[in-house]
Amino acid sequence: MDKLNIALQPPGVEQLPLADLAQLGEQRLVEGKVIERAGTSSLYAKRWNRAGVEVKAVLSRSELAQLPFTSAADVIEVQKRSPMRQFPCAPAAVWFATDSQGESRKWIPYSKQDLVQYMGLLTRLERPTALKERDVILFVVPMAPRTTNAMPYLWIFTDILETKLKLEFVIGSMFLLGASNWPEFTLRRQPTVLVSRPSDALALVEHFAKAAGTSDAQPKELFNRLRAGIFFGEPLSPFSQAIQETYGLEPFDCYLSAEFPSLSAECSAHDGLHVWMDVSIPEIIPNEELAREKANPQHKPAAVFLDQAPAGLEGELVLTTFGEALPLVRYRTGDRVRVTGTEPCGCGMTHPRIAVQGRL
Amino acid sequence: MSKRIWDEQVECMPLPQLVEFCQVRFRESRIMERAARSPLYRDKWAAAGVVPKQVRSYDDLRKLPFTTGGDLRVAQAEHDLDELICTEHPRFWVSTSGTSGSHKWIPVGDQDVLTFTEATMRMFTMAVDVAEGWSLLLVNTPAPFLSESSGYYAVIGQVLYDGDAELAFCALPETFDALDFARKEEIKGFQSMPSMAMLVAEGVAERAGEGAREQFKKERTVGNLLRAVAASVLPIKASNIFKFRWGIFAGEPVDPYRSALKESFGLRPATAYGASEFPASACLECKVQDGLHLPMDNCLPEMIPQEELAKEEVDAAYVPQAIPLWEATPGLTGEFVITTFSEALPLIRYRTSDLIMVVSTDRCECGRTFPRIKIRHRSDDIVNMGLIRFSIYQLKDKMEEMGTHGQVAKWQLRLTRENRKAKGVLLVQPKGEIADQQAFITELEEKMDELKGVKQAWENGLIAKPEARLVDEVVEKRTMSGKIRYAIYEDVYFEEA
Repeated sequence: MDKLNIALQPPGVEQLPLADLAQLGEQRLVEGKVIERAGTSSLYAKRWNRAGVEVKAVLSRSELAQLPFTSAADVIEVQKRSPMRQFPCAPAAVWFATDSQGESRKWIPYSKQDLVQYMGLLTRLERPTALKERDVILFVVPMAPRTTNAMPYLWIFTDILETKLKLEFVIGSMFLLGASNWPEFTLRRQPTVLVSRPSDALALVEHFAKAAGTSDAQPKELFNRLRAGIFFGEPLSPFSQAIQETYGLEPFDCYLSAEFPSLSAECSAHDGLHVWMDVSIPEIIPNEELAREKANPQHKPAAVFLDQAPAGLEGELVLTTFGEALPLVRYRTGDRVRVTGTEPCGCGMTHPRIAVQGRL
Repeated sequence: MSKRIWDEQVECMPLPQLVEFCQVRFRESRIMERAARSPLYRDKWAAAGVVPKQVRSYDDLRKLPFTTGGDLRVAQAEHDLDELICTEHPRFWVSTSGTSGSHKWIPVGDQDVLTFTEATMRMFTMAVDVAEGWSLLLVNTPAPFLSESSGYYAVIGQVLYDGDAELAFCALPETFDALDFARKEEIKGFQSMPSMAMLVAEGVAERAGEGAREQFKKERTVGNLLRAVAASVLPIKASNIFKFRWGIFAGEPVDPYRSALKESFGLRPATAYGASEFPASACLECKVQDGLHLPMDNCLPEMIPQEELAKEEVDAAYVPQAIPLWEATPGLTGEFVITTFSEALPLIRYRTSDLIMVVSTDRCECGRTFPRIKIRHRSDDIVNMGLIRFSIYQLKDKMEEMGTHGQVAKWQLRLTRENRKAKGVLLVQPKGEIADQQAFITELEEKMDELKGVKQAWENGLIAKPEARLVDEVVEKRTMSGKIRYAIYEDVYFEEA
């Protein structure tokens, strides 16, 4: 296997000056022929054609900003109308899917290379959350076909092959609480780190108490070694206080989507989630622009690059990624975010920070 | 990846060499020394005077005491888990389903993860012709069960071995959604329990016409009209909808479903057998379909023939004699005993409680020399109806609770099939006169429904509705030792109707 390449390259990429990161993103957009490759996917081909977009080498971020946005609705529409095999730009090794939204879910192809990048980004989660050698991780895993279902298993391989922290995983699912004694087993393994959806963590409080044979013991009394929690899948803030009170752990917010396992993570400074500028080109559509679009659906909202956005700006997160099987080109995530800062963070990392506020 | 055989040198090695090779691996893995530290083996071996270092060949190994699932449960309950594992640190854990008591938690080490990955890649090479399309929808049971993690061995296998497969997984509750994807993407392989697959096929047959009409109502195109007309006239089969060409089925007897799976999906079903305790030794049918190949390079397989099991039943102190599987004659049936070379928890002479039959130890038409077996049923008291599994003693308790409309003198559960689906027929000989026979039968059927999952399973069409029948006399079947056999499997339970 290749090194977990771009997610770890160049060395020290987490601390590069912001301008260099923006340039690195641009370089990867151009050299990776992202737009030309994307043009071969049914997700972009017809729509771009209709919009008169010429699929050619895009040479800069400003040229990128002239391409139309892509939305979740586009993905659903294309997957409904055209053969699935016209969707990926490169052979899919595995397909993951989003939660179903109404009657449809989006199926997202991942090539081998994309999986390697996913694994590389997992290693990046280890630093800001200060994972230690031999940490025991309780991972409450959502069910397949979600991207997050793969996370503990990819992480296991990543650690065996690359990071060698000797992390130990106890993996359980909410679905099988009734048919498995994993909460009891977790008590025996005494995890040091919890990874879950915030609401699942709270729902588990009573199950851990029951597993311990008490009616009201709090997880913080049952898990003496539990130090940190990494939470994904929904905004952490509504749950954060309750989680800290019951678990007595330091919570870290983490953001990823099925379309791209960006794994943006909070660091010890707890001042927003770092969005990795070397694997994506993030933009924000400010709230005012969203409002204008709402008033007039014909309005084409303008976006600003995240690294150029003022702190406090709120809006929809838009991502362009360099994936192999499905590069996202100006993909509207449907997630409302607030820019918390673009200056270097207290933790030493330079990637800009956002707070994820919820779905639009 | 476009290999016909994953590792021809090993998989097709003449049997005598394979036996030797397997013993070399046993020695070189140094599992005896590692295992001897674990309380699962330590005291028992010390009492038997075993010197781990001196156990170097099968002839040495066969003198060791057996290990059982019960031993593993006790060791896990009574000892620190860190003491139990035979490696420096466990990477993760999988749990057994816990049907026969508490769940067993199986540690997986780093080397195990890599071995399972290779074993998984090899299994797929055995089951699939690349020309058939190496794409797979795998229906799994979520963590902490093995079924979820095993799919990811195939995923990472693609990365590590530069494979060209295309995979998609879904957890059991998401099956219908994922099937829609499989249809659109024209996925060629399907892995699930056979009863689950049949449920899908039946659902398709029932809903196809309806779906086509709905589609036409939504969009009145000529194509949709033709489809709606066709669906109301022609029988719609799963094979009209899906493009599956091969399947891997496990978790319950596959033979009763075999022709139906072929017929409705147009796919070639391959049977698999494995367990959380020994995933690297999972057995699979090759394309010849004459028994499941047992991967002898990852384990030392033995079996305890039925006569020996019977002697043990008469006298619990009797130590049954096992024979190495490679020396068993075709047709021999007995309990499967396995020694694995796992890193985190090597199993040494582990009695699986699964009854197997040896099909052949000759070279298979596919070229492989791994011996071939068939899986019969559990040698213990577990009734396996696919997703639904229960101990026959749970049913015994229920029979003893009967009283509202009458009592049970003798009873017997016949495991049979109705339209291929597993069906339990409860034969009951009542105690004395029963005033209201229908009420008594209803009460008996309700008792069966109280077994975990049973009611849900027949309501959802996964198994046939269990049935109680009153008989004048239940002809008791007894084991050679005289123990009553409450669960009787009819031949049709394992074979094609």
